[in-house]
Amino acid sequence: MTWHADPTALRAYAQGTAPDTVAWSVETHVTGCDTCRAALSHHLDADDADLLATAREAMALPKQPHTNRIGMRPWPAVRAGVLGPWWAWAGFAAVATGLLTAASLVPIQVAETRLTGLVLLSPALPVALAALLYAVADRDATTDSTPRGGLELVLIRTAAVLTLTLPLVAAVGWANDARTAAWLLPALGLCLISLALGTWVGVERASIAVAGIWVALCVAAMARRALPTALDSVLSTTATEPLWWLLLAASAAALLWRADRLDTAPHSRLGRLS
Amino acid sequence: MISITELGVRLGRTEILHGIRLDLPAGVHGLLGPNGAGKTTLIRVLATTLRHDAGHIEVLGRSFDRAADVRWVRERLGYLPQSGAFHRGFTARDYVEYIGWLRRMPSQDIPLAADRALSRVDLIDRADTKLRKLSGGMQRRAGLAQAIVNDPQILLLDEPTAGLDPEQRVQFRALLRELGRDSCVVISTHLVEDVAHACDTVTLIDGGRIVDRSTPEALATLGADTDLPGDSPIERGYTATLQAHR
Repeated sequence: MTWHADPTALRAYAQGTAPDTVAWSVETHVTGCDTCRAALSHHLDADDADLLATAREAMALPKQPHTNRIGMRPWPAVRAGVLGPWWAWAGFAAVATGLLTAASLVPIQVAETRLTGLVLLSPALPVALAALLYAVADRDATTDSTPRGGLELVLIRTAAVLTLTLPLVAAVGWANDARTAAWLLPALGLCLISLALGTWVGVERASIAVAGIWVALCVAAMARRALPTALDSVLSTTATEPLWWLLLAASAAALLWRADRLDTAPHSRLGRLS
Repeated sequence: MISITELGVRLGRTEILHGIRLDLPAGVHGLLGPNGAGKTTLIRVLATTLRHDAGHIEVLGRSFDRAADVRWVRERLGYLPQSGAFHRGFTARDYVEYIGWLRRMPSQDIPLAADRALSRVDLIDRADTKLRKLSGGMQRRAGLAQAIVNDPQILLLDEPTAGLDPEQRVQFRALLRELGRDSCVVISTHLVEDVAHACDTVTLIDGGRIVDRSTPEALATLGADTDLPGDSPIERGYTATLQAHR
């Protein structure tokens, strides 16, 4: 703006005494000129100044406490939604630590190695945590109708579960035997099988079933004192390792092929209708 | 915005929906019918939570046949299921924010959008209260807030006024009319008055089929001089139409 309104014209405009042509000219000018708008406000009478102040305040302040939310991120809500309640994780960590301690205190002599029956259980840790998480996590029809509610949520949860439990599984293996891979391979295998089966029956049911079957098999083997045989046949020894790799590959292939199914909740057909 | 042709849904051998043909432009559309008519099933199919067995659905020009298209539609969808929110340990604000994230909204927009949605359903004062401590009507409004958090182009509401008191219903209908200006709002209800006050069109469903497509005004005209049971002309018009097709 290269020119400014004459102070007399501004005063006349503010008092409502300016001729039409002057009023029109001032009005057009002040809409685009900050300096003259500020100058004009000095000429207003008390009532008009009040009115203007109220209007400005109303425009500057939102009716609801909105503006303090600008620049914030929804991460606490997302963390609670994706990972479920903290007490599930805390409870699981406590139980798992207890089991590991018990495992290290009660050794069983199997051939040349010192092992415990609990070692057998450790590959089920990740799947068991996943099953617990799905059992306690809230899900509703709304979640199923979102783009992130299916496959993406499943993958994020699996990653979180593996991050926490794989070190635990490795620790069990390390504490009992140097062959860490023997425990890691079945642990990963059970996870992938759960995911693959989940494309048919839902990850929740699949992980509960897989963890349950594994634990049942282990308990049965221990009860019949068939521990050495059971160890050899289920953990990845030189004889069974190729089988585990095969299972891993088959599950991965099934998962890749049917991943989209995790987006449309398979159990929804059984839900309440109409 | 929604185009359905020859839609069929079966549960075992029971046909829940049969031969549904429906085109819904922007506006507020009511699905009206007795309990068990198939309204919820139709809403669930549109919400992509239930797979259909026959026919073709196109929403916003995308068909439901490809997973990538379904995900695209889900980003532009708002859905309030019949049963309330299950995230009972969440605060109302956290719940709305979480659903906003699940709908793939940009994270920096979510907190503001969540507060805006909570304001629109008049729940901003209770935003930090856990859902389990809210009354039934407030939980329902939190559900509505999550359904509108992403400014959906398609808004599906299943019995949305259940649990709302009369004053809130009036507010809710005003909100519906506002939303219906540029999105396609589909409401399933068995309450004729919901349709009368908020909807542009009414689709009558009975026994899994569409028996009539009409407007609230036309239904009221139809019921103006009959002596069928009903408290208002539109209710009598509804009864008359249902009886004519049975």
